[in-house]
Amino acid sequence: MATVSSTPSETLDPLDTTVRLVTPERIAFEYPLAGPFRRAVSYCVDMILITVLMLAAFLASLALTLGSTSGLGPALVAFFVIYQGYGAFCEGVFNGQTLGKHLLGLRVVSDQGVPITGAQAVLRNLVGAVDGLIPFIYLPGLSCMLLTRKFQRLGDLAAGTMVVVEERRRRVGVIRLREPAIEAVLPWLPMRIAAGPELARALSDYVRCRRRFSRSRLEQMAEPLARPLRKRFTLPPKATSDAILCAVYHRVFLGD
Amino acid sequence: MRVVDRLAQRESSWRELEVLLSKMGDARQPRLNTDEILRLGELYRAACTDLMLAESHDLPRDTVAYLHALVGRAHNAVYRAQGFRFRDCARAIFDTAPREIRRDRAVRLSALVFYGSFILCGLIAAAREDFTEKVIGASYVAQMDEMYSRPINEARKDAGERNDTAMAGFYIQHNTSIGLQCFAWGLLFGLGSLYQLLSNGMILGTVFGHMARTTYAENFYTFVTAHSVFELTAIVLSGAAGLRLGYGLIETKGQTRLASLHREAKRALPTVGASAVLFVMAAFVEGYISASRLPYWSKASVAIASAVILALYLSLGGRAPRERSRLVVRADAGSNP
Repeated sequence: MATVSSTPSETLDPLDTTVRLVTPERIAFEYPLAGPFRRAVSYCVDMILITVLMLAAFLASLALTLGSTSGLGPALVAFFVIYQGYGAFCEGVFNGQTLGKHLLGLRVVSDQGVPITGAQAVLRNLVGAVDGLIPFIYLPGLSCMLLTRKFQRLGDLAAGTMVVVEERRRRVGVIRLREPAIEAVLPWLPMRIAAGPELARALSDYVRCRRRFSRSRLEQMAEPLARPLRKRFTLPPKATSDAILCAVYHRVFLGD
Repeated sequence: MRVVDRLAQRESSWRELEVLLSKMGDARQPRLNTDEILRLGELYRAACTDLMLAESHDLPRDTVAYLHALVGRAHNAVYRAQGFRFRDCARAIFDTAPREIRRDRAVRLSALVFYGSFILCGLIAAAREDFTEKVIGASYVAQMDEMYSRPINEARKDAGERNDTAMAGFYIQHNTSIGLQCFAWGLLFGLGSLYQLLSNGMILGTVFGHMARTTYAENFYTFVTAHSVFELTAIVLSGAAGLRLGYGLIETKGQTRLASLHREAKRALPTVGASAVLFVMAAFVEGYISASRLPYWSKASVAIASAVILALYLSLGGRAPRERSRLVVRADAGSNP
C-alpha cells in the first residue's frame, strides 16, 4: 500500500529491513535500511580517507614549518579536527553523506525521514565514541544495531537518526512474452480481464521469475492458480498451466 | 486503460526526473537553473502520485520498487540538510549555552562532584604522605617530581626539545578529545561522565595536594595558575553535558525513553560546544603562557583576566538586551486589548 492510512499501524508492516516514510506530500514510500555490513564497508572507506587526510595535514604542517618540531602542533590540531569533525561536517553539509556513504549509496536521515540538522550530525558523531568504546571494539554499536528495528547504533539513537540505502534501480519495463504455446491460449480469453491488485501482482511476479525454473517445476507452481482460471474461461485441457498464467498476464498487462 | 499504456504515458516523466536528479548529484555539471528546479518539484509530485496509485493501477512489482527508489532519491534532493550556519553555531555558544548553564542543575551536580573530589583528595594528599602513591601510582609520582623539580625558567634553558606550538597542539588534541568523550560516556546513564569527573577530580586534587608537601611546590603552582581557570571549568561543563544526557534516559517526563534522550541530547549540545571552546582556549594558554618564562605576576593576571571573562560570559551571556525586551512587552500589550 502506498497510500497513507489514517491510523499508523506499525505492527502490520512486514518483518523486513525497510522503513516507511511519509513525505510532506502525504505519500508513504519505503526505504531499505542499511545494515551493519554495508555500514562497516563505508566506515572503512571513511577511515582510509581520514588517515590520508591526516597524513596530508602532517606533511603540510611539517613543510610549512620547514621541518621543525613546531610543525607537530598544527598537525596534532589537524588530527583532532579531522578525526572528530569529519563525519559531522560531511553529514551536515553534504545532506547526510560522507564519502564512504556516498560510494555505497547510504544516507543519514532523521528517523522521521526528513534531512538531518547540523546538531544531529554533530550529536551522532560525538556520541558515536561510545559505539567504538576502546575495550569492546565496536561491540556496543553492533549489538545496539542488532537490537533496534532500524539498525541504529548508539549515536543514531541519541541523535534520532538512521541510515538508509538510496537505491538507483534500473527501470524494467513490462515483460512481453512471445511463445506459440501462450499465443494459442489467447483467443480463448476475453480482450479485457479486470484482475484485482493481488492477482495482478501474483501474475507479474510469476512471469518475472519463470525463466529460472524447469518446465515440470513451473507446472507445479502454476497449477493452483491456473485451475480456477481454466474453469472460469473454459480453456482447453491441453493448455499447460504455465501457458494459461502467461496468457492471462498478457491480457491484464498488455491487452491484445 | 491498460497497464502498458499507462506506463508508457508516465515513463517519460520518470526518465526526466531521473536525469534531473543525476544532474543535481553530479558536481561536474552546472547547477540546475530555476526552470529545472521548478520542473523537479513538479515531476517529484507526479512521481509521488504515481506511487500512490500504483496499487490501484496494478503496476508490476518491479515498477513499484523502482518508484519507491525514485521517490526516495527525489525526496532527498528536494528536502536537503541545512548544514552549519555560522550564526547558528555562534548563537548556540554565546546565547543558548550560558543560559542553559545557569539554569541547569546538572552543572551544579557536576561542579560539586568534581570540586568535591578535588578538594577532598587535595586535603588528604597534603596531610598524608602515602595517599598520593596509592591514588596515582609510584611511577607517576616520580615522573611528576622530576618534571617540576626545577623552576620553569631553568628547565627551559637546557631543555631545547620543548616546543610551545607542539605542546599547545598536543593539549588541544588530547584534552578536548577527553572532554568530548566525557560527554559521550554520559550515554551510560550518566555513569561514564560521573566516573570521568570523579577520576579527574581525584587525580588532579591528589597532585595538587602532593605538590604542597614538596619543596618545589612553587614551580608547580606557577605552571598551573594561568590555564587552570579555563580547564577546570571546561571539565565541569563537559561532565555536566554528559550527566544531562544520561539523566534524559532516567527521568523521561512522560515521553518515551528515546524521545527523552533526544530532547536532553539536543539541550546538552550547546554546553558541549562551550566546553570544547574552553578546552581549546586553555590549551593555548597552557602551551604559550603557562610554560613560558614570563614572571609570575603576568601569569596570575592572565588567570584573573580569564576568570573575569568567564564570569562575564556565564552571568551576562544569553540575557536579552534591554531594548528588545521592552519591544516585546509593547508588542504583547498591543495584541492584548
